[in-house]
Amino acid sequence: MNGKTLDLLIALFHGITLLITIYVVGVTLLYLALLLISFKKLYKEKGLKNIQYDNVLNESITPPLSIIVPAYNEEANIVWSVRSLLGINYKVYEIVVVNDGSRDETVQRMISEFQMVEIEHKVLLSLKDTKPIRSVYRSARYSNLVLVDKENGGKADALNAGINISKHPYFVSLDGDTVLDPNAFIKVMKPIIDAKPGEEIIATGGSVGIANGSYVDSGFLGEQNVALSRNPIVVMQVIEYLRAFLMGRIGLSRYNLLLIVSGAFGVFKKDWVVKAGGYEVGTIGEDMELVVRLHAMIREEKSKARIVYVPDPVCWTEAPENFKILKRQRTRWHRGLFESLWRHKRMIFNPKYGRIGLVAMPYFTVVELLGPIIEFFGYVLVAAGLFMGTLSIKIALLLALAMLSYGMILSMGAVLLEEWSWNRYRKVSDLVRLFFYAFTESLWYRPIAAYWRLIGLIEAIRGKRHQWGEMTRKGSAINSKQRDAAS
Amino acid sequence: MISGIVRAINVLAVINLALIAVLMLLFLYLLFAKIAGNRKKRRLAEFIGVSQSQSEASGILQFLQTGFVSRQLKAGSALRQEAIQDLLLQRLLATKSKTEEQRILAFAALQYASVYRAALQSRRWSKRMNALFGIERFRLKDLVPDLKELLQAPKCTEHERFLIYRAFAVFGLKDEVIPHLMQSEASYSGEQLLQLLLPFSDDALEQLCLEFHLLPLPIQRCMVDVLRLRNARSNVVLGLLEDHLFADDAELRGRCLHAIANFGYMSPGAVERFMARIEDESADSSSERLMQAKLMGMVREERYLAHLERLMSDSDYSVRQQAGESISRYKSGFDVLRRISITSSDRFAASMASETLERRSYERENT
Repeated sequence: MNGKTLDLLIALFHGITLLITIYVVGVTLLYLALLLISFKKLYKEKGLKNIQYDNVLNESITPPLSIIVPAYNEEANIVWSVRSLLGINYKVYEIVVVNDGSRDETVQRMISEFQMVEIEHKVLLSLKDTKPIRSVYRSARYSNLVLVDKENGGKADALNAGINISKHPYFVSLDGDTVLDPNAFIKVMKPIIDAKPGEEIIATGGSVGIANGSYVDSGFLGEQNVALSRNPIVVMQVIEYLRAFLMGRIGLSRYNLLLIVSGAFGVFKKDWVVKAGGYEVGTIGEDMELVVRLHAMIREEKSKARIVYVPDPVCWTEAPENFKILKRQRTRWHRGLFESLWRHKRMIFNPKYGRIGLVAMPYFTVVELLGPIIEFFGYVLVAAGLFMGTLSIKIALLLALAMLSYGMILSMGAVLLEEWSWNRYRKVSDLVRLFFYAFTESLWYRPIAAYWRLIGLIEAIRGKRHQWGEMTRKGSAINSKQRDAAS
Repeated sequence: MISGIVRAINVLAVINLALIAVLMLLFLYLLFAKIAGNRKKRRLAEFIGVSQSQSEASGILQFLQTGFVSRQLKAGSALRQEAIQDLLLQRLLATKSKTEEQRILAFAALQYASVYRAALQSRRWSKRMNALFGIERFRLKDLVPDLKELLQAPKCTEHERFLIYRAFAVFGLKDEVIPHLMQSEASYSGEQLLQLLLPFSDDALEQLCLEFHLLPLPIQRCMVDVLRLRNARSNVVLGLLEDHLFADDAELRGRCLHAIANFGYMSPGAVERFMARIEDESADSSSERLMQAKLMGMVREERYLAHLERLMSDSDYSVRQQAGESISRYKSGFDVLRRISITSSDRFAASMASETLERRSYERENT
């Protein structure tokens, strides 16, 4: 290697180092800003009692809801899920279970448990083509329960079929195994009820928690039954969720920049979704893709419509308990993120789409999507600097310390914010464990997660396809009083 | 440049370490607060358990059954007092007994008025909001001057203003609520307007019917819904609904159609005018056609059947569904539907007729 090449390499090294330093500082400041916005909102609402929902529930003012539950091979969970939905704290609603060509006994379980009777002549709305519907059933016991049995077409296709058959102006998309907060529906509908004239709320979502280790009673998880799992992998995911929901989404929602309404539980205004063309079939992150499309529509139609995030915990989901399944989930999520951003790349840095184009899309692209690559480069750079002798061990250690401590601060901050605002984990030992796991998060979990996301990104670029049921859940990690009784 | 980067990293590392130290201190504070809080909560849970049980030790139960206010109800820590308040608030919502309700309201007026008065002065928004929920539920009318004072305060947010006027509505203070609505109707959603009008007494509503023409359109629309939800049944109400059946505003027309369908009756004159209208022109909005179909099922006139048959071919699914439903309510309805299902050249109409027949016969079998 001659001197000129070496000089060039060193200059390149310095340039990349500078860029990564700017990135780290920028992202740190951004997260701190989001943390402050969240803190302000949580401080304001801390201590607000649930009585606020009573008046809204008591009057005939809650808009009717269609709850769509797509199910694929959910024989273990479906009856239990529907039972809990039949007991929700809401006024007028229907439940539409869509069996997406399950290969197990999902349909038979539904038919025998709820006395489902086939309706021969159900006229479909045909708002969007879906895979053929085999049959539509209504329950003889519950007038608001419908089952759609269709050929397999993926979750998005199942949701579209559910939208077609639903009859109410708002629908909730719900995963088959989502565990609900008893007030989940009224909590997410509250912003819609309170929307001022001209301020249309077309989608709302709430905070999702991890149910592993908690006690679920009749399908609901009340605040007194929340407990932390003993599994370190699950604890790390709890911290991750807290960071994402408490710091990211509250802050982003404040400025209508939210691009994700969780697939586990989200309310949508049906006419907007229909106008947008429904869920995009064949995508992995169909929930995010739809939200991005809705944002695009809002801008294109110059509407004042908003997508709102409710900080309150509204539902709980079962998290993977081992690395194998967690890796599969995370690579899939990252592929989904890539797909959603790629499909709508025209919006990135496009002033036509306002804040979404200039802030939200670049944020999700640079920080969320490309973050793992930049992190990876950071590690490579430190190693290369040490190898080339352009970086002293002292600087390398300082850089590593800065990166690690920054991750620790955000994770520990999220745990403390949760404890201070919601105090969901009642046991003192749960708080201690959460805090100290948060302290170690940057040391081991974060690099592993960044690596999985990197793999997801590579897979997405190489065009790996999506399949239903990549995530296998057994429900065994959640302690259920009802299930215990049944067994 | 390297030295610049080193400086930046140094600064960043120092800031981060300082922040970690602060977080550690915060953690210790929250940890001790949690230990103390859990202890209090355990004691409180025991107290609530006893209070909610049928045990003789339950001062609340004793109070609800006999009206006797024991020391347990009035004394104790702030936390315990708050727990009693919450229990009574929940009880108010659940109770069907007028006596029990009166006992709770009287007790709350004595015991909580001063607590809420102080809370209204708080700088914390959530504390003021909780007080407003309590004042409304316990119907603490004595606090109206305090509420008015809060309305004037710069700290009063939109949410608070709404809750104050909702409390005024619950107290029956129509003369406070209506002028406010006339000024600021545009800042409330339809559902919020509904919450502000629904608590009014029948007399107040009847009075409002007479002033209906003075109300802004959003309130008129909401008012019609209130009349329907309250199941108001008087000549004044029917006259008002019939008068606005042909209003310029399609939404108001739709809501009047819905309300009359709920009423289940129309005067002969209105029937004639309605008939003339639907024969003359088809409504543009599908929601209005839906409500027309609903009305023709609830206020049955043989003459409507032909129009309902036309609506079975409507471009909107929900209109077709409602038309089928309404036809099935007529004596000859099943025959009409059977004929449509067999002979209609419109695939959608035939299909909907079959579906309706199937559903209705299924419902008959299962009821």
